[in-house]
Amino acid sequence: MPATWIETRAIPVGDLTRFPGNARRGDVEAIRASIRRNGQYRAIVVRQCDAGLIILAGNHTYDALCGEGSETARCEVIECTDDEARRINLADNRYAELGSYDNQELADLLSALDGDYDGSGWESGDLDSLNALLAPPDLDDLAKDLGDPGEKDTWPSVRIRAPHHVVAAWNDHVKANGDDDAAAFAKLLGVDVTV
Amino acid sequence: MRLTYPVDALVSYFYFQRDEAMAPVTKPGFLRLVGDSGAFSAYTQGKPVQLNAYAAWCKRWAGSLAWVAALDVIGNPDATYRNWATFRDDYGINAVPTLHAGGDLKWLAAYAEQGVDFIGLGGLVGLPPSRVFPWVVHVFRHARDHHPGMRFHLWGVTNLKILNAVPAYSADSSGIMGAAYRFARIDLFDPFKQAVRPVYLDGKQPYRERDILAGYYGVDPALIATSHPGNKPILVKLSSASTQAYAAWLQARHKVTAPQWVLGGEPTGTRVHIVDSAAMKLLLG
Repeated sequence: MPATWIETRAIPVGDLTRFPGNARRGDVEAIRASIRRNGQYRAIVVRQCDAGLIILAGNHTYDALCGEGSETARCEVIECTDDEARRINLADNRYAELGSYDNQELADLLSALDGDYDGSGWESGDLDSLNALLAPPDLDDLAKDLGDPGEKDTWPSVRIRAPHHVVAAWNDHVKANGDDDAAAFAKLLGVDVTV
Repeated sequence: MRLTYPVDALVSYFYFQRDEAMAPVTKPGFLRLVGDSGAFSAYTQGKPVQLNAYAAWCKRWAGSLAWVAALDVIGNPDATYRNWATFRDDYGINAVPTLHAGGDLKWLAAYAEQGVDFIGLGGLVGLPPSRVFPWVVHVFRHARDHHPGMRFHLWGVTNLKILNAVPAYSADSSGIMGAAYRFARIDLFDPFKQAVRPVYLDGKQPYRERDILAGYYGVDPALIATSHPGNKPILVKLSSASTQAYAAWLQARHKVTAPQWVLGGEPTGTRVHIVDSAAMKLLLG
């Protein structure tokens, strides 16, 4: 049986009880900032049972309301079994974290705040990070970061397996050619090291 | 599944020179093919590609190849240019020339003078991306300043840092496909996070990635919970769909228009071409 909605009403915070064993650890300070700016825009879900009024969803909103000195909290009051109560508590915590963002739409929304992120849970640095992710870097900035390409950076390597005495002779040959392996190799092959 | 046909793919003359090899992959509607010589592979196997034979293959399959690369000669830009000109003048084939890593950028001007606005950057395979990246950026900056209409194909490059950063028209790599059924892992592009994330087919992780697998790609995680011969076609299609999603994101990010040379201005970049021939065959079924 699904839970049954009873009513929506303001309930004194002193009459509410946090869900025993609520596993979620929320950011109460961030919710308090939101409440200061936006008010309580969503109701807490409360189970009415013999033990009283138990908060199934919105335990940290409740903490934040208490922290802000609210005398009441707007609550959706429901009736359900013990099993349903556990599932609702788990589901409410879990489903929020299962989702993800469309970063482009998120950036559009944040941009619309015109730099005032108070009460949104986001900061200006977040938008900067998002924009860096969404837009390609400027080629000049990139070149500055990466540096100029070195002449030898794009040269392929040659790997040759050879017996020790051949390798020793090769090392001597490289030394005799100014410790420049590419020049030494080119000399052996009778070609110019530059194209 | 969120897979759109035709799928961008690359065929190499060296591996697809026989009609029996080309016939299945040119079946209409499945693959949008581009062609190259495969000369490097051929050379390493002691079977150099002959220009006339490659040109004949290009003409034979011209109706099925969106564009072909000219026969390049690694380390010899003069010979590369001559081959490109021979294709055009002797065989009537407008092909895409290649500039090799570290090559003199004067060749961009030489090709531009001939009306070419589409050049492949080659010789990049096997080099560490950190060493290739500065040169690639150097080329794109030079092109931006001197040949703003020039478009580039990055041969054998699917390094995300590079593709994310520079406005390449297209790229290809054999590295994109095949990982799923060979190493029990699939790299999926997440269009919301704009990132590629590995999904290990260990019987568990695919279920945890239900949001992207089922929600975005339309694939039931149960079908690819583990990698086995029976789900190889699904994995190949999923991998192709992921490549397409990544290419679509690159398209939105870089907004690269198509070159006029050989393509006449369509379709819009960025295109990412799959290379794995076994995978291509599975995409046909």
